[in-house]
Amino acid sequence: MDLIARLRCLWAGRQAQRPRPIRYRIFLPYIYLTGVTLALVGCFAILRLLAPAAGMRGEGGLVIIFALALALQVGGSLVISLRVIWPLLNRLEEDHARLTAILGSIADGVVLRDPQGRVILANPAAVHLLTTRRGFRPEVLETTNGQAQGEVQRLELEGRTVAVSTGQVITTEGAFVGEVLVLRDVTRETLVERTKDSFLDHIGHELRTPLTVIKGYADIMRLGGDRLRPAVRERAISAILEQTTTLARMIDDIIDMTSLRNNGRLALRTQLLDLNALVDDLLADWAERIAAVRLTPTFERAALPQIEADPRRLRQAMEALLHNACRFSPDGGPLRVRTEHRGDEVAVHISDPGVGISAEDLPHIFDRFFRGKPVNGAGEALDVRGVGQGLYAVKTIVEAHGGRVTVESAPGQGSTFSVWLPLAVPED
Amino acid sequence: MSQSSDERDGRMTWLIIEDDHAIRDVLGTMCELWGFDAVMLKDGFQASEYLQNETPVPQPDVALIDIRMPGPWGHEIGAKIRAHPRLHNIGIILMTAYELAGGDAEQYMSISGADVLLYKPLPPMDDLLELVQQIVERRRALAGR
Repeated sequence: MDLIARLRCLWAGRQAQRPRPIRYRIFLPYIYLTGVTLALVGCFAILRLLAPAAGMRGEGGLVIIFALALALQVGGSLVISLRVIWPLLNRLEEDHARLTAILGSIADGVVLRDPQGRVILANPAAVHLLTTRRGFRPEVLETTNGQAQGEVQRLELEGRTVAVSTGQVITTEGAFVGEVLVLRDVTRETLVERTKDSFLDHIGHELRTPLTVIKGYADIMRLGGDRLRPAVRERAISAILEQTTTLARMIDDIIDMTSLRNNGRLALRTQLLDLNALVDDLLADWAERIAAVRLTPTFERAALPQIEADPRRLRQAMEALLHNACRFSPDGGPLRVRTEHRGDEVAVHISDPGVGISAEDLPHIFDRFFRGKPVNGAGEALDVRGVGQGLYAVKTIVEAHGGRVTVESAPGQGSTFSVWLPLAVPED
Repeated sequence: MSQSSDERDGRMTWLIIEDDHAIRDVLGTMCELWGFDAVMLKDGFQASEYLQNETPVPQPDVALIDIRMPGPWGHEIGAKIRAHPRLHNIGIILMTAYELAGGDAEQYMSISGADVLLYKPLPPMDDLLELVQQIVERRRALAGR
């Protein structure tokens, strides 16, 4: 970019930022001295012309006087000029350095176009974004000519997606001096949008992951044959069994989800049941899994009347809550289960000492396919594999019983999920 | 100076960058079975840190990188490898369990400079080994030109 264009941009920027009247008074002595000098030089020229004709001599003295006057004038002019111009140049230089530093430190590309649409400034990020195998190609921005202010256009550049937004540069006097374009590399966002968590993508990913492990270890056993060390064989078999269980659970979830999906109310097979007994059975069945994650369960039972509920569905809801308690309590600790009878409701409260739920995730945890971003105490992300169906299923099942599910949680403070059920399932 | 596989009688070093521990383990076990070295990194953060070292030891011959993982994604890590002073010419294999929309696979390949993109479940391990060997040989031939 040429210096004139750069100065013009800086000047336009300066005017827009801080308009200043020119100080004419500074120039007054200069104008006065120039007038006097011109008059003296004029007189001298006339004398030089007329003197020989008049036979006059001694013009040498006049020459010296005028030469001195001229020297004083030139010197004075230079001093005045330097006094005026030097600070201006300094300021211009400072502004330029500041602007260059700011533009250089911005991660987004910034391009300035003159009113004719020519690129007259591009910061390093813009140069990087607009450089292809064929070098710097600012001409790709031509498609954004005439783009409305605030409108965003996406350009594809050798595998990169660049979002370009434009804004007009207008001076305080209202003169249009060009356009500023902001370029942002949105390749990742674009890819993420396209590889979005659509239901099928998500299910596909969740099913393929355990399959990769099962297939891999089966291959290892096939290829390793008798050479396989017992420890490796053991690892392969355990992994295959573990991944098969994961896969089976996911398939159950998917099938279950189909029955929960879009069918309005869930069909229940209700019977009179003792909620305390159901929780007892559940904790006994889950004892091994709970112990495996170093959770210590306690069960505080209240005296409860029998309720009318679907035992299979209710157990499924409780299992989902226990499953989450185990998954999201990486450091173990007390797992408190408690029942309560309050008014015409009974409740089961499950309190875990886990990582808790962020305020951001909390309003969405019962949404279908929602998977939060839980982290442990060290800030490491926890495994959230699954079909994102667990809490949605809990809510659906409990609401089908005419009940409600509530949660109290905070990051690092554990979570308490409460299932509230009416003493009798309401009639349809 | 770190040894390349040439100097170790056909042994290779695989750089495995995968956030799923079970898949990481199965690839590591496969390397163990073949007598290869494996450097295993669990996400894009670890991979970025690893690539800050200009002379990693042992020097990998091939990188198997999952696309979608915490931190920088696989294609971004691939691009970092291609810009690495010592590793820029190693084989790069991208892996994914996702369906990629039309054109996205090419975009991931183009950004990462990967040699191939594999969908999970991965091909049989002996086919995978053959593929890796072909890629590594082709990369060496290119570097030798």
